[in-house]
Amino acid sequence: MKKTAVPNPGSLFLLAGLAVIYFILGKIGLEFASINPNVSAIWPPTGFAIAALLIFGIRMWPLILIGSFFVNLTTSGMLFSSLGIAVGNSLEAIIATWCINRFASGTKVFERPMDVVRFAFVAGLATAISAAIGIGMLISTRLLDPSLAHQVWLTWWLGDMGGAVVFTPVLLLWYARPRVSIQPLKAAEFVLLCFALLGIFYIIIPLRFPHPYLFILPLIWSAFRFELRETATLLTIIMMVTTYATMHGSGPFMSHASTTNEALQQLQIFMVIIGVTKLTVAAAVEDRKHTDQTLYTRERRFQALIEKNTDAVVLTDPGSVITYASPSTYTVLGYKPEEVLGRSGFSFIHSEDVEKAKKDLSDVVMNPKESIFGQYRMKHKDGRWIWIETIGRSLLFDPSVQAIVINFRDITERKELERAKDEFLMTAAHQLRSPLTAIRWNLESIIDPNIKLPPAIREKLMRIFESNRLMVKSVNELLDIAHIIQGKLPNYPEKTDVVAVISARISENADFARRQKIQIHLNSKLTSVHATVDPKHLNGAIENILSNAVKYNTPGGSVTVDILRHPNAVEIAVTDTGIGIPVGEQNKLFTKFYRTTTGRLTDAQGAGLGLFIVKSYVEGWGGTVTLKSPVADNHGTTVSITIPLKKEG
Amino acid sequence: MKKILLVEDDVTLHDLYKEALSPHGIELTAVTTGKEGVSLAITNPPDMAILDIMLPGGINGFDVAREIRLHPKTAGIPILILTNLDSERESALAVKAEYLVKTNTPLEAVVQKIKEMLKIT
Repeated sequence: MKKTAVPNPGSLFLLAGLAVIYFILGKIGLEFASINPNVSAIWPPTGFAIAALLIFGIRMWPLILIGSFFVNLTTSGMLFSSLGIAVGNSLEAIIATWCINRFASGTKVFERPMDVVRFAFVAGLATAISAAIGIGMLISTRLLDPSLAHQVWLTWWLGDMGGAVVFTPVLLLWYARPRVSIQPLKAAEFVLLCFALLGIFYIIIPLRFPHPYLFILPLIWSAFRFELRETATLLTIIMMVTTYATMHGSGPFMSHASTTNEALQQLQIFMVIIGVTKLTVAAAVEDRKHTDQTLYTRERRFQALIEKNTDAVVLTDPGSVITYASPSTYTVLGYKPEEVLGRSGFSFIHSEDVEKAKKDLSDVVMNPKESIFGQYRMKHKDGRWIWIETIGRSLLFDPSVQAIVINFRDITERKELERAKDEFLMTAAHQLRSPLTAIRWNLESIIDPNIKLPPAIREKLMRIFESNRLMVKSVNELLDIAHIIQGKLPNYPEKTDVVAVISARISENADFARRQKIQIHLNSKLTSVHATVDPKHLNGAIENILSNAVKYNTPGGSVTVDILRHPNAVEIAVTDTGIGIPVGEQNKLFTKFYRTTTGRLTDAQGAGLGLFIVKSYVEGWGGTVTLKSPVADNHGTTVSITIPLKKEG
Repeated sequence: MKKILLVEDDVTLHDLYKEALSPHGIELTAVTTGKEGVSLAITNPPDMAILDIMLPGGINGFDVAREIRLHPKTAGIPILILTNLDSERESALAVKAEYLVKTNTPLEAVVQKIKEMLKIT
């Protein structure tokens, strides 16, 4: 946490080093001084200072103060003005660096064209301030004639700005990527570019060809074919060479200008403008290359995702005609994509599953926001039937797709495992049944009322008998679940007296209810009513509802069974005085293995299969199951079964 | 005295059947495999057969029932399929057999059913 206020020796050393470089660059820069010994036409230290502060942090600003102070002191010998100019130079770099960090991505300023434009703007503004301070200092110390102030300020400003625009990029870019990778062809091209540049130098400087915009050609070449770093380097070389030439009486602008200084100013303006333009173009090219690369990578990745995926994808029209098939169609179905194009997806589906597939496809079309799952048997090219799971989604209204997208995969193995699991469940249940039968029948032969038994022993045997009964019930439920899942629930409807079944179930549960201190009442004006249902299922359904009503009741409570005759149906309503079922959980009760939170709290036994099975039974008869809770005062639940009655005759 | 052939691999049930049926004048011969069941049915034709379905040795209860139906001496006898599978009711109909699921039926009801099938009052 604690940050030391004293700079460590390393950073002091760095600071000193940077100050020395600044001093040397400053001295070189002043070689280009023409209008005033302290005002240079090209001022590399500005570019160096901004690059250094961007790289090493603004806290390194004293390097400029020291470096600049000594450059000017050793030039003019004036202490006060040298200090003033040093402050101006420092301020300039600090402002520019802060703005670049804040608005133009910091050291990554040359990666995006907009940042380059911002950089140019910031450099122009900061150097204008510095130039103004510097001029003020020179006038106040009488180093400069105020009448020349305007001209000198312009040279100063352009010199500093040129320094920033030309030197900051070259330093920053080489610092970020110092390595040069040499590819023979690229290297040859670069050599060619250098010769072209030399040629242009020759035409413009010794031959005095008055068209400096020729320099744009190698710069454009570089911007499009090489990296930003190379372009910035070329720009620096052009700047240095042309400035030097201009200082010595030749160069591109001498023919347009009356004095060397005027030619230098024109050169500076020219260099700043082409510098900013070329850097912007180069950054745009770089940015574009980067974007292209990103898009290419992304495209490749998506393509790989689709093509290398074990899941296959097809696009179809709303009539199931396949318009695209991914290569993995081959891995799933054995067909090459081109073999399925134009064919109906239904033509691969088992005839028994086609109806379902058609319904699913119309669901997909009708519900564009939903993914619809389906499972069908499909014929593999080798003739095997395989199980396929599909996920369909309509993108008909998505302009870039305009199709139905169907993902599909082979789930034959999974289906096989499911079948094996169900089979195991069934076998296990059957195996459990044998000993349960032996226990039941042996007990039955002992607890026969004709056999005399001590009451305590009879009571215990009754408890064992009751436990056995519950166990038989659980095993039966497990078997039913296995059958329901497989869609193979045996169903043998026959004319069955509903009232008789209910009475029998009530008397079978009487003992269990007595132990739980629950009273069961039958409320029926009917003595018999016949429905065509599987008696085993009716027994199971009533048993389930009734035993739940007893199990989840409160001691001292009651269970009321109402049998109501409707015109075309009979309704059986079982109402308890128990804890009730939270409204939010009522729907889930009809799903497999669900037990209510209240049910779990009472710690009654049960696998939670009950209502799921009851629903399967009742719906098999064309009937309905409804649940209402609470019935009164936050208590009680009513479960009603409605069984349709066939008209007699 | 009526004779019943029982093919049931759960030997713990053999004595139970015998005890429950002897007061009604029924003599029960119990075997555990389908093979024994078939040969016994032919050499010593019973008045009725009680068959489990899942049996060891590769011959199941329905195979035994079909053999019984094919043999002239036993073709007409009542057969009761007494099993713990509840999905085979239709196969039982095909061999003209009655069908009960053991665990779901009290012993007394089984005895009652046998008496009905043998027409014993």
